[in-house]
Amino acid sequence: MNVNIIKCLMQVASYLKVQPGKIQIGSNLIPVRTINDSTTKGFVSIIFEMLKEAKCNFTNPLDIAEVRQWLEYCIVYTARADGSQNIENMLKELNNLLSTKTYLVSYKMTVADIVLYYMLHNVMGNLSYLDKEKYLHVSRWFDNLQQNSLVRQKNTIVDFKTNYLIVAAPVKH
Amino acid sequence: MVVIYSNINNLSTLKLLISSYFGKHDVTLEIVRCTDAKLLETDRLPALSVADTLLFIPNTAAHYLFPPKSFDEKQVNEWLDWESSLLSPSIAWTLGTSTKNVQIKNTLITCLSTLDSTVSSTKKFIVGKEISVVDIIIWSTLQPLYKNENLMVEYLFKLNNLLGWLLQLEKLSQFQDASKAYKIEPGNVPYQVLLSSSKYLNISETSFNVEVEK
Repeated sequence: MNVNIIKCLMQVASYLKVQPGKIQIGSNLIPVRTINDSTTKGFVSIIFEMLKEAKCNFTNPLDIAEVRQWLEYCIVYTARADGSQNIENMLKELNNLLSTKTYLVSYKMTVADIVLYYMLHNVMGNLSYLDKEKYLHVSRWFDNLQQNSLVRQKNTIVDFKTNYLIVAAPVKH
Repeated sequence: MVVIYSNINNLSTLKLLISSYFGKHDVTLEIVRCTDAKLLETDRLPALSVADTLLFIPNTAAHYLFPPKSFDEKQVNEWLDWESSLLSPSIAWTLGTSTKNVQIKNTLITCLSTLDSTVSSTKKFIVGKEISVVDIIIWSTLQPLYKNENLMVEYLFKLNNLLGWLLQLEKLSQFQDASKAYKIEPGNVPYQVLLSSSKYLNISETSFNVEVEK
């Protein structure tokens, strides 16, 4: 999957209202952020530094653990999902995980949702209407997030409003 | 109740067990299959069940069980990123499959060399002066490698600092207790299990460059 890691981190910085600093992709595709002579290596590490700068504190250790889990999921699996089979497997898994949830962590939107939204934007935009219905829980979660203009920023809105039945139903004579 | 769900021969389960001993959590280990009904949310293993939450990414679960001291947090995060993005996938693809990918193998060799230059007889732990979750996860990932003589000779030849670090950690009671509670077969099999249980994607060669920053 062609995920632009730098763009994703810049958008996270913008959402959190922190300086993005200089973000580059180092060797082995590991992102490196330099700000005020301080360097941070690694996707999850960079986002945790940004959260600290934004004074975004979690009180529940389990919530922090779940955020960490989703950030690692995003960089190890979502960003590397290449080819239709991998993408399909990932969407199937996410659909299952989101079947009983509004947000990934707890009952509120966290940076985990925001990062996954940025990473999935291209994939969701390229899905057929049938696939959007097939991955209904991912679609519902994604559509909910993109309604927030602070999250969406300059990303295009992915259309989920078409009457799928017209496309899916066989023509009767 | 805190439960670790695991299949057999999964080195990531060691990460969770050892971390639970250091973090003084009372955990139960339950051997399951990936398709077990208890794992409704995901078929990734091991998974840690805590208060209706399932943590299915091993490093995250280990970090939760044995959190670092706050002043070490940035360094710990960087090493966790390094282990999950480089060491673990490169070792799983190199030792857990029959396909030979020179670039991925070189990434593994460079990872081992990085570790060898990080630890020494005077620097006994990867971050700071005390054991952290970083030591635990990296030791667990390398355990089936250094416990197999052929693999040890092939990959740890001349890496005496790294080998010394592995052997020194092995002596700690928490590592010994975990190794008794959950057996791992030395050699390639645990890396096959790591690959299938972690569901690492078939990484393209472009994902792994030969050059690694010093």
